[in-house]
Amino acid sequence: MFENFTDAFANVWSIDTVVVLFLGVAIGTVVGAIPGMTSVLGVALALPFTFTMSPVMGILLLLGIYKGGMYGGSIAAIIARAPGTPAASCTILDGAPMAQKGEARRALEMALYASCIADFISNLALIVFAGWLASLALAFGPAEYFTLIIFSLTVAAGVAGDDLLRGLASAALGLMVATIGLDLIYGTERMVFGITELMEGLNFVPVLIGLFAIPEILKQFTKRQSMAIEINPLAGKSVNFAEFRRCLKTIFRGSLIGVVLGAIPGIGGITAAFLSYSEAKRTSPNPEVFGTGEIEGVAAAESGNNGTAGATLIPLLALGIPGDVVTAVILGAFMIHGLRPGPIMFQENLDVILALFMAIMLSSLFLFVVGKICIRLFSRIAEIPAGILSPAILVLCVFGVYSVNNSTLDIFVMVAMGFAGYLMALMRLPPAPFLIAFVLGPPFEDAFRQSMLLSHGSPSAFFGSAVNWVFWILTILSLTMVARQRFSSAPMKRQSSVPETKQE
Amino acid sequence: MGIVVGSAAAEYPEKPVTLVAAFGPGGTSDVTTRVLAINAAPHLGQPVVVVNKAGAGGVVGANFVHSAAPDGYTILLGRVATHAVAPAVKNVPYKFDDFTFLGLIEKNPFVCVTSTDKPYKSLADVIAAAKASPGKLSFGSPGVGTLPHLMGVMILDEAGVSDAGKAAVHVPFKGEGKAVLAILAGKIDYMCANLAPTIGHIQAGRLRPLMTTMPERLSAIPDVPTSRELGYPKLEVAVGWSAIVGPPKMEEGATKKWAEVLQKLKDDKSWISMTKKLGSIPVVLSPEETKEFVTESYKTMDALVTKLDLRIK
Amino acid sequence: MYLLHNSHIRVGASLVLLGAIWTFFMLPSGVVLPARVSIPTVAPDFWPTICGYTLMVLGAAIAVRAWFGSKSGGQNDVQITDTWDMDLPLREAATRVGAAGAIILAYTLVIETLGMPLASSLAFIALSFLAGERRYVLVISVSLFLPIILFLFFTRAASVPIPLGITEALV
Repeated sequence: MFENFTDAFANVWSIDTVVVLFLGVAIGTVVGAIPGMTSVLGVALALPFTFTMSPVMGILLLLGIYKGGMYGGSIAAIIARAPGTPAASCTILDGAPMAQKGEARRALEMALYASCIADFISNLALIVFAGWLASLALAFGPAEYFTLIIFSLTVAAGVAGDDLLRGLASAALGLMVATIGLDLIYGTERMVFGITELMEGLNFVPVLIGLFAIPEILKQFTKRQSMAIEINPLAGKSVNFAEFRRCLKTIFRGSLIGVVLGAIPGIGGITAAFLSYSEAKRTSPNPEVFGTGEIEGVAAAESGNNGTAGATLIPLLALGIPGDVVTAVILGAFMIHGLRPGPIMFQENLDVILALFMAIMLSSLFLFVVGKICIRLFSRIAEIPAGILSPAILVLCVFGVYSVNNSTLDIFVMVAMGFAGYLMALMRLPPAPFLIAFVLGPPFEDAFRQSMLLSHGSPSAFFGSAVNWVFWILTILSLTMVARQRFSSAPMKRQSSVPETKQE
Repeated sequence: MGIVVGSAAAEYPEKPVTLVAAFGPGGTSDVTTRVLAINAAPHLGQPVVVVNKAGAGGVVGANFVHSAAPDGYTILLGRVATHAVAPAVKNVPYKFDDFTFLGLIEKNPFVCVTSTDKPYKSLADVIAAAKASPGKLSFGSPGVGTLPHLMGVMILDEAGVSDAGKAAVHVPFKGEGKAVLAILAGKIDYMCANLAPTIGHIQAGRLRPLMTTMPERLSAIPDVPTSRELGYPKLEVAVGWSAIVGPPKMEEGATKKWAEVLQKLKDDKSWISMTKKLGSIPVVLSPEETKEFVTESYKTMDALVTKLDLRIK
Repeated sequence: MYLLHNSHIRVGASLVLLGAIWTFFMLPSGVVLPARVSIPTVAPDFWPTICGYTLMVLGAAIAVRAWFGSKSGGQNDVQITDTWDMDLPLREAATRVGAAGAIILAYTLVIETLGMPLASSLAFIALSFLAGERRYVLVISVSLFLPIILFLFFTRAASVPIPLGITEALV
């Protein structure tokens, strides 16, 4: 055991390894900050370089990119209202309004602090609880996923905006769009209309970017070009300690949510971010400020998604099961070096595991350093006049979205979603519920149908295990709370107002 | 599309070659493509750039290369899925043999597994259970119309289970990873899959291997009987493979160059070692042999799909 | 026509219409049903149909709520926070948004023929002018540098084969 430690120590503390990890975090942050480019592309491109590195070094490069990408997504979300990575979409809700008010720097800084703390907690959880949380993954069959997703979908109610009915309608639209593609069970076409590229369904990167970034660009054209840039007294202002302390509880809660959801394969950062956000909103003394540029919203979203960054390695290292695409690529890197993640690796290659654990703690620190540099570079971008910034963001999105699958159809999807998103905005349908539904719709339907197949059509499948019951209870609790909040706050909001005849 | 630069005088390749991966990052296919790219580049004398064109079980990528310029700068890592299973199971926008076959590079052995928590100690136990109570067993696959799906039915059919298509419930998942997770969690009874994603769990004692489908036993799991030993030699069709293919009527210079590259790759220690670590068996075939092999693979799948009534309309 | 003056009713009605189009027209033509479906809840159109009906019900609820709300003097009408700040007159704003939409659409349509860098340059200039930017030197230089830098980054660093179209001969 001690020998392993010293070996591992020698392995990590070589200057090469540290440099490679730092490089990974830096590359990841840049890739994450470009809308459309995700850490998936980053790690796939870096994979061949790891073939010739030592295993620890290679894995650390990929992990660095993964972690950097998870944070980098928030930069584009705040500055350009385009989710740099899907997991950062929740950060837009409050980050983008803050940037619009000229508080980009505060938002970026809070995103960074929340990300680093959450990343650190997640890494810690990986090291301390890997064995224990790994068994969680094995408790999840289709029926358990189904109840987990039902619970997560009730989260949609938390981000529904002022009008619950409109929020739900937006979610229903998201569920509908998500059904496009080949049918999972029968392999038949659903809304494909003979287009081969549609068979895989709509890729969610172009959908998300279209939904958030394009309507914002179009919206610019309803405004007069402001000749002088308004100087906001908060511009360039940093996060102060009081604010940070106020958000600390939210950050810890978000990290915890991230850790648990990260340990379950296939759930991922988006769900964690939204769950964390809606919890923060629910427990806040002024929930109504969420969505208008509340710094705690940024903290909640970013701690939620970065909280998964270490925990997704739990099923990978402890069981050899990749929870998402990035960890699947990392699994490939392990295999090329003749390593098989799983219980065997903990016996035979403990030195590698320990080296990874030690180095991974460094990643949070590197994230902080890289983030600080980026904020310096990027926080003033929001001050570029809209007439230049908006078209530039569009061009950036087009390049980025194309890179997802080297497909021009994806660019069409982005633009079509953008126009639809603009219409939705005119109809006051909030985009966030659409997004959650679009992301969770397919796994929800899949889990439902798989459970039905396994139980031969009997709904008893959904009540078969303790995990099911836990999520049913959580779902009921969550719904009751939403209902209580809606009805208790309703009388205050009710004002006699003339039916809205505002021009649209 | 594009402008043809130079003529026969110019040596192929003069610029980087694009190798299309028909599946997204994170799967065995993607890693195989990248391993090939990095190892083939020195023999080719130009970089090989991997480009992912994923969708519809590899059909999108294969179709993309099928309609690409035949100048040898866009080629595909064809898989059993793109050139045998998918064309047999469903309508695809290309014909499986309307490509320039450059060479087979590897085979991927299959292994049928069950969870160690399940009572089945051997394949015979699974078959007996399917016979005793038809429709109660379940098997997983990474998607409808994939080789593991066909295999799940074919095992029962070969063993003489009546109405094999209904004797066990097929539960498709989105990708190999999720299917493996379901069998680890004990939610499904058996599954036939590539060796690569299962070997770790077999060694860790979570999955029990029942049968392999190569003619010889696999060195990684030498105790597991082959389908031939169990009396089902026909199940040997269930083997994955990868081959380099180009658009139809590809330029001769490029075709020849790739045949040379593959001959060199055959003895390339680095490529062989990486391929083996991924759980595959390096097998390099000449263009003619490859065409024959792929045709055989397609015909077997086609016959199987017809017999078991698994075609998707 | 009083009803249509209420934006909530308009929104509700359009959602009902959309749900109906989805359920009664798109699903029957767009979803291929397999010959035999053993369990009805596993049929390919089961879930999309539920989604369609859900949308119709929600749309109807929005409209009905607004209808009763307007009758009783807006008592039940939910206040929607207006985040849609628009300082141009409606007609002008609509024309400009329409024009921007047309430019974006044209942009995506010419990417394959003109190539992504050139198409991006043109789209950038057009949108920038439409937005009222009149610093010509700035606009032109950004329109040149941005696509070139992105092109170099994506092709060289990320090995993404950016489509070049007619500009392929230049590279």
